[in-house]
Amino acid sequence: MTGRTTTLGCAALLTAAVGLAAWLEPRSEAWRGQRARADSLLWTLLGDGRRLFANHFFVKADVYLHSGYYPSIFDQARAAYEHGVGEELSMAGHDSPGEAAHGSEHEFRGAPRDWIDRLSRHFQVREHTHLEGGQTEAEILPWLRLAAEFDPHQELFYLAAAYWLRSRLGKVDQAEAFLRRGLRANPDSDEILFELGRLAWESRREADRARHLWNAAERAWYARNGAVHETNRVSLSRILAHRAQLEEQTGNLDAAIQFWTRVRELSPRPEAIEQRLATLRQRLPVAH
Amino acid sequence: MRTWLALAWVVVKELYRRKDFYVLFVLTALITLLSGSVTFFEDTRMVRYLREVTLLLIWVAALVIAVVTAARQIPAERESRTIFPLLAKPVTRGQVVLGKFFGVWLATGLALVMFYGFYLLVGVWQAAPGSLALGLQALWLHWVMLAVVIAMAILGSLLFSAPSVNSTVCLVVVGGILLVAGHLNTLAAAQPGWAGSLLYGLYFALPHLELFDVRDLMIHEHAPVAVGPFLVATLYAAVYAALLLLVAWWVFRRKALST
Amino acid sequence: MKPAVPSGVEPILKTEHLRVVYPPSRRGEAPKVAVKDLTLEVQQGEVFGFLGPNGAGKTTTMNVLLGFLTPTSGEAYLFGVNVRDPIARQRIGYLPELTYYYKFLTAEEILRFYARLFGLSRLEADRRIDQLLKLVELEHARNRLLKHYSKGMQQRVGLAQALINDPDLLILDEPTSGLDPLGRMKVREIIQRLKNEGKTVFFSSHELGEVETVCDRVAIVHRGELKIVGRVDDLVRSHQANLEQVFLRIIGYPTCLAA
Repeated sequence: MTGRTTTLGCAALLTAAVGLAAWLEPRSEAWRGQRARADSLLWTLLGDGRRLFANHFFVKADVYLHSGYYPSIFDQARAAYEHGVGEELSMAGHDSPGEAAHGSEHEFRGAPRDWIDRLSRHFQVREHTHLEGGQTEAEILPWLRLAAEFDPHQELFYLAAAYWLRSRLGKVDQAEAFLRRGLRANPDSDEILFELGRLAWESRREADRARHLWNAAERAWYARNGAVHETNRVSLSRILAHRAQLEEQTGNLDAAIQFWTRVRELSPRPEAIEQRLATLRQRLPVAH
Repeated sequence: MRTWLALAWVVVKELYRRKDFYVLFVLTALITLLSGSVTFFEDTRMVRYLREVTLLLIWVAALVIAVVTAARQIPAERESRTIFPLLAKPVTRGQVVLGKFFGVWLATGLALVMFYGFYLLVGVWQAAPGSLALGLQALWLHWVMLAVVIAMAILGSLLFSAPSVNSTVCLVVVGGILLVAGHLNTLAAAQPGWAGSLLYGLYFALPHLELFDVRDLMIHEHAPVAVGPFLVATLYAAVYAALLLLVAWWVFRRKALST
Repeated sequence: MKPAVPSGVEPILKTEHLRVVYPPSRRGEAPKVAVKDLTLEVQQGEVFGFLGPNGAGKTTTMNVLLGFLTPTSGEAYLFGVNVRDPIARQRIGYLPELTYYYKFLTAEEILRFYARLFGLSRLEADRRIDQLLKLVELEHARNRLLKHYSKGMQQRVGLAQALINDPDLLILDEPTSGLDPLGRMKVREIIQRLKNEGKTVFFSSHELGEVETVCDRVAIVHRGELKIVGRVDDLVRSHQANLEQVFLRIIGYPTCLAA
């Protein structure tokens, strides 16, 4: 085979390859689905698997909050097996009955089952502590950031990070920026809008902005949920309650009464709300 | 003693003249420095995640170095035929196994000292060096854990046909042990009958490498391990390493070698 | 501990009814008898040629003598010590046919390593290394890594390592294989020198012309059996032919012999 023939053959193959690629490209979107439209490298590489990483990083943040004292999935499964489903969810928190801190054998691991188990406890974190004070809570933030990076559509990651940034670390600007980032990824999120409203009012005392954001949150809630049900009323109730408090604190008693009335309709304890309404009505000017 | 020390010296020389170790170290350093230069929410006080990243890289790199180096020793000698002039000397096969083991273990120890030294530097850079006592404990425990892994890989090199197969199997087994072995008793308790007994048997038979993983204590600045359990863990590793090497010797002495 | 100096009557190398059977490699195949009932003695100070066609059992016999293989039955001794004991190899030097050594070491480092295996002191090792590197003409390249050596240079390193302990018995497997005429002459010179020093040389070779020149006695094996053993000049005289023709006749190939 001569050099010229080889060159012509290669050129022909290259042309055929490019033509085939051009023909296949629009058709490939049909079978690649969302991944074809992804503009994120993580999405392209991992697909839906990135959610696993995101959830892992979120749990990691909780692990860090407890300074490494955390049940493994095996411990959680054992608790569920022994005490029933749902027990595993409270194991790392404060709700687990019989749980004692500071190296007691009656922590989530239970009593050691054998000498290896007993020996291993010496090489594990045994104290139930929380990161508190001295800005140590900041240690959980990288994991929340990573979790949001891997799954930008999980609103919880933004809300959790915003809470710690705003309430514990005093980083209001960073909290707002992160929430806005979350809002860009989840434009219909009533939770993020609500949290932005809280930040505007509680941290910046910007009442108009807070109203605007909570109005948007309410609209987003209705767009997502449609009608009020037993299972979805809590989040709406929270938006309305905060709005009512804002109106109360800014002296707009009429508006406050309006919103508290709506809260009463949603609340499982309307009598407590009714008492509040009665107090507010008393404060109204006599002309009313 | 001079025989297996001489053999060990050759292994150490091989490791530091090969490029793999430097590549892994440079990669570890680069990833750590990159991670350390990233700030989250304009806050530079976060050090624990950096410790976690660094320690994870150290563990992965050290495991790879230990397993790949150990898995290669005897098969490479056979393939390159250097085993023949070696065994033609007054050297027993047991001394070859022991010499290779100590060589890889010492070489891995040197690598660990470098890695943990780097970890300390990163801690100082981040103004959070952590407990020196716990750091030294971690280094020692990591090193004795690798003794078990190296012995396992050497045994595997005499059982499996190719070093790549051996390395893969060893890394998978070690990874599995680190993740799951500590929980086998929990799983066993939940299984009825023979399945539970089998799991419990496996639980006691397997070397519990997760005992030597004190990264959580280092990351979250807990107190060092008490002396008693520390010594027991060291003894535990020594027993397992010795057992695995004994089996390796038994297998090797029965192997026919042909020039 | 060195074995006792032989009295002059006790053979340096001895096999007694040596038998090596390889198990079948596939089902249905018969086991392969590589060596059948080989009884052989080599006296001190002899240059002994171990001859045979390919597959005759020469390599298998050497592997048994060097401890690489365990015989199916029978025994082999070096300096009166059973070959299973590594001390039997304290006073031997071995040059394999294919010379491969640790490519990441220099010539000096390899020789020093082997010297340590023999228990030579640092001073003695330094002296021997200088002497041997001069003998094999590798002084100029003593600090160069073996991976940069040519094939001829590597073979010379092989010769040097075979002589590092000033052996009383040198076992050579095809020592002139792959060597140029200058290299072959060098090997012949070394064998002659060793003989003059009262050392014993045991080697296998296909270069019958050279064997006839340097050997005192030869043994010819074929299909695992010892066919003949005797002094070279006796064999040549009794068959009235050169060694090559004697060899061909012994293994059953018809030749034209001068009347």
